[in-house]
Amino acid sequence: MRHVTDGDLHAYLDGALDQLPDDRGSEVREHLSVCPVCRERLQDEEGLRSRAGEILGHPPLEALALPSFEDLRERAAAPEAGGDPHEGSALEEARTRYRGPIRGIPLAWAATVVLALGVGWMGGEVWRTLPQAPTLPQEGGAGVVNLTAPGAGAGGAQESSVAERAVPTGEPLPGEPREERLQEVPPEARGGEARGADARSGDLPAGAGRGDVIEVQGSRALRAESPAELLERGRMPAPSLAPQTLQATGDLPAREAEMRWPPADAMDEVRPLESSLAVPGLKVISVEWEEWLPGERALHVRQLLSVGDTLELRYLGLLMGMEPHEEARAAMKALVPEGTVDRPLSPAVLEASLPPGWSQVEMRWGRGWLVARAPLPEASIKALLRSLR
Amino acid sequence: MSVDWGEVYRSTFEDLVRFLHRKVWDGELARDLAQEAFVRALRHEPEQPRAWLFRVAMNLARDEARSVLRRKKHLALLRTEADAARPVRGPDEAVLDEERWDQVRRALDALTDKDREVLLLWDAGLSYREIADVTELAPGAIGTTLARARRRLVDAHGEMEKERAARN
Repeated sequence: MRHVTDGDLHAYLDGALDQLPDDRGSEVREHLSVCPVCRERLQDEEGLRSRAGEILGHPPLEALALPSFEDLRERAAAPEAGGDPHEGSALEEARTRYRGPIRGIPLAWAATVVLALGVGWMGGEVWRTLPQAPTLPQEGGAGVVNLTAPGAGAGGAQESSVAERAVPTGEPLPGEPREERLQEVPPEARGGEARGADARSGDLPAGAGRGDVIEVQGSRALRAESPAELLERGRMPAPSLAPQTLQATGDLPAREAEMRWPPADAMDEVRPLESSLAVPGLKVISVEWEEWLPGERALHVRQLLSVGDTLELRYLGLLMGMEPHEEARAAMKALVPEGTVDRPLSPAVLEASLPPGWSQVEMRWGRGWLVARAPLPEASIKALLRSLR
Repeated sequence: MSVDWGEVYRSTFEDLVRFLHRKVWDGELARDLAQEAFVRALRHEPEQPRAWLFRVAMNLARDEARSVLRRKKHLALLRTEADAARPVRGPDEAVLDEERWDQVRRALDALTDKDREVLLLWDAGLSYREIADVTELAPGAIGTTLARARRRLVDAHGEMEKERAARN
């Protein structure tokens, strides 16, 4: 009499005898009913099967927000994009969820578009505009604010819309996806600052573009300059916007006052940030204030990952850059809700300088943004951020 | 044959996420991959939806694993996923949980690719026939594969337990 195989015993235990080919299931049942050896083996295999199940356990998925069937059906009904098979797919959306609104745009262009509009830091995200008519931001969602400022210079008192900007509101919890849906820069807007300006802000004064002077709130005339022009005048640290630490800017005597940063009266707000901007359990390599553009600063914490790579955490907050642009900042505060921040040193600008193989994750943090970068998948960075206080 | 996709979602989606979780060791990534597989299934409307879903999920997980390999960040991924998998708990419990999942992962790594896939597909609730469809093994070979996979898993895990006991 031929004994049954281990595989047959497992099929028996799994209730799958009926799925075996031919009449094998019946043969196994019949054999087990008469063979004490195989019944004993069955007990052993049952213990093994049970132990394997214990080891595998159940992955803790309770905290995951699973999509509803309706969500999935909606996504499936959306038109499939051509070209990249992942484009427009749920996976691609998941991969880009935490990215900034512009991806892959060369940093030089990013800076150019910002500066060409001549609104300095107020135009920091000017390319992130939405085409529809401006509306007031709603609590918990994204809105569009049309920055308008009375012209107070020689141009008279007419209202000039200088830029539209998307204003994300609401405070997602650490690790939660940002809900705002901001439009990427269309290809034609990447072709140059003048076209970009035309495409984004139809209300710009006629003929306004690079090199023009635009009055903002009648308080500050900022000339539109290219990055190259700024570099020539020593106002930009490097073409790549590589940051300088504040200590390294000591060779610019005219800005001595700015280097005393953060100001004493802001320390109450800054100190908690310095102490909380680190992932518990990871060694802190450095904590420093760095300056990417004059007045555009970030609190930068570097931590050591387990495999020897570095996790970079940056806080870009409303406090940064308040000194050199105080008037413009005051104008900005009058026009947009407290706590919303857009400026040249934005998550999107940081992303444009990502080293190859690195990912970036952004989330709202206090009154600004927390930007985390590391040579890890976004999901892994996101997971690290969950342990932030 | 018309497929009730709402029912397929109810009976399969969580299993799909669990299956993928043990492939990519990242809960949210597993969910995103499951979502992608399901959206593709809704678009293609395959006749055998469960087998089709798991086959696509397996391929997506494999693509993702290759991508991770390219970045050579296995250890970091494991570590962060261990963080991600934890709700708020005490430090002792957290450490135990991290060790536990690390052991499960290493024990599964001791299996051959095929054995691991069959075991995980079974654990995700697929029948022998469905597993055969997904893996292209003969239905009669599933039991044998499962028996071998379970034994290797238990043995590998047992070895790790012994090593841990020796360390302590």
